[in-house]
Amino acid sequence: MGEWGKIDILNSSMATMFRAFAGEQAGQILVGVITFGGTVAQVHVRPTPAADARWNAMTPSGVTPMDQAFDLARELLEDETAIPRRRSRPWLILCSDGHPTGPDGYASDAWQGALDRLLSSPQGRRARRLAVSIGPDVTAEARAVLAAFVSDQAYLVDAENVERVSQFFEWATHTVTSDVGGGIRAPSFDPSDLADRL
Amino acid sequence: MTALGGTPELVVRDDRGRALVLESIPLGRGGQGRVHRVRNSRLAVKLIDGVRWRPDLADDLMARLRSINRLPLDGLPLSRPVAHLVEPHVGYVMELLESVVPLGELASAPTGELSGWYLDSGGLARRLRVLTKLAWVLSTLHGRGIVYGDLSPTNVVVSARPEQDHLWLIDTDNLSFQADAARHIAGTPGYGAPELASAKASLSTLSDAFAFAVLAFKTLVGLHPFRGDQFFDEDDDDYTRLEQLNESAAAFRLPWVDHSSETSNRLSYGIPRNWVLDAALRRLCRETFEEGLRSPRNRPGMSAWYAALSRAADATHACPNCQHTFYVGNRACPWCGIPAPSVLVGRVFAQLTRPDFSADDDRYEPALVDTRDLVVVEAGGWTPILSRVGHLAARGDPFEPVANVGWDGGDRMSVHNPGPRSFHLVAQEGRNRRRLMAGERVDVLVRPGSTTWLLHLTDQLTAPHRLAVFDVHAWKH
Repeated sequence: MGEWGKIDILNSSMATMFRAFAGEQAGQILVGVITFGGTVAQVHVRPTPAADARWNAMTPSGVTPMDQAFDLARELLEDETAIPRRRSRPWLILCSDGHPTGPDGYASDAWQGALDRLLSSPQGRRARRLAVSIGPDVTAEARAVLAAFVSDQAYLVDAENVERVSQFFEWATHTVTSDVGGGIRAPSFDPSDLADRL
Repeated sequence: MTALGGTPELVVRDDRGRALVLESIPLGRGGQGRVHRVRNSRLAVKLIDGVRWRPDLADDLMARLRSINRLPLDGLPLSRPVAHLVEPHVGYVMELLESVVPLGELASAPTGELSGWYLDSGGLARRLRVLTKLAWVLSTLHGRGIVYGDLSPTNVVVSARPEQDHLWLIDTDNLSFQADAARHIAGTPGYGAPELASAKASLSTLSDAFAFAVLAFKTLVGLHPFRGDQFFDEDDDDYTRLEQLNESAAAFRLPWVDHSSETSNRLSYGIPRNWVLDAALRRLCRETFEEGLRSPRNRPGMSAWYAALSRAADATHACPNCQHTFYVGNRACPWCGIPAPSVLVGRVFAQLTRPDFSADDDRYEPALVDTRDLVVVEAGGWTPILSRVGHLAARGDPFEPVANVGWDGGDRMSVHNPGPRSFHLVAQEGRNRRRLMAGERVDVLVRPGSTTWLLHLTDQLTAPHRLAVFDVHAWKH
């Protein structure tokens, strides 16, 4: 029952993110998806402009070969025909309940080696990493997997806040450099921004 | 049994052997039954329609109640069943924590003057706060794989006192894991998503989101989004025509009142939509009631409503003249027309750093990401910054204040730290910086257009954290 519930949360979280990416103003976003719900990880959506991307629901399965997904992500990031090398950094978003298994369905720690390979690859190292925690029964051990993946604990997202993930893509356009004192400057206040929200 | 005065009195018994006297007017009426308060108690009873005892109905309900008790519902304001009724009634007993009224009382505009009714029931700001909380409850349920099932104005109850905005979902016997939601429930007419009328579709998070969208529109505007002027201007005697219209609206066969191209069902009554729906809320309504009407997968989910409603709720302030609340950014109070007062505005950013940066990579770069959340402080008032503001993962209660910000309307801003962690208040210009320990309050100088204060909600400035940037916002009238 829990497994079936999780696939629904995963599908609705993905659909929400797809919608939000398509609506983002911060330049065109390419969205690609790797799934690892079957016995092998596979490319579910080839990198596509967000406005054209559609989420096709995944079907459930009991195995989670996360290590294969990390290896495939690394290969996809290195493939210039799929993802042109551009200035903006890639984002990697891991949506999972955090229970990696091998292809046989048994718990496996092969993900650790694959994550190291991903993070030491030239493109993987540039990537910013977020994780969406799926399902209510994420154990401390499973959470540790998600925590190892993210760039910082602040990027561990609850499913109910998944809509907000897209706001981080503005990072590229809102970078503020530090001054000597370590302070930062906020963009100046423009009252017409408030009127634009009406 | 008849009480003195002739009011019929309904008494039911539960499996703990208690005799419960029900109030005669139901608190709410849903798809399959009605909810009555128990006289002189904090209990309420859901009676399944048809008071006649039917063993199959009773068994079915018992099985559902047992499965609901196994759902992960911790931390959510749901009135869970505490006992079940015995023969000859089918139903269950639940607890109510305080004096409540159905959300429908905030959502059904009376005929005649609306401004006073809207204000007395809490105005715009309270409606947005209540809807934010409801969106959070549903979004959290959905995040746990659970659908609510039959959302309507009668099975959400809110504090009877308008200065409070507690909320509970009653009538929780339809809760189930989405994957198990095999029972076919059409939902409450006018709220149940169009696809539920077909036997092929069952309850889903997106059917919940549809009913929520109708309820949100109705709570903010006072009227139903599919009932245009023709429902009110019709000749009262033409029952057949009105009946047909009602049926069409309940089945969503008419365009919604603000449809981008279909103009046959326009609405000019109710609270003006541009006073109470900001751009983000109007967009969510349009997406739900146009592309998302027949196609659930094109419908915004509850996390989108939660984000938009919480931003809207935080962007309101009160009119010093008429006491109504309205969105910051309006040059005048839409309710009474006086020029909008100055307010202190905090823009909330996420300050991010890259802990993974390395020497051969770019240099260390803290960056601000606009969360689009605001904190608005009125002259002479205090505004709490809630835990949910600007957050991706609010552990614990998202409605707990993490800081309180006050403004005297002149050049003094006050910040209070309710604890438990310390945080930093830094002037953008100059070297003025203060550390606020738990429980501490500081007052600093602000001037319109010249002083910007950065409130870092962290005790570690180099870790990713939220930051509210405060400026005085004064219109030149």
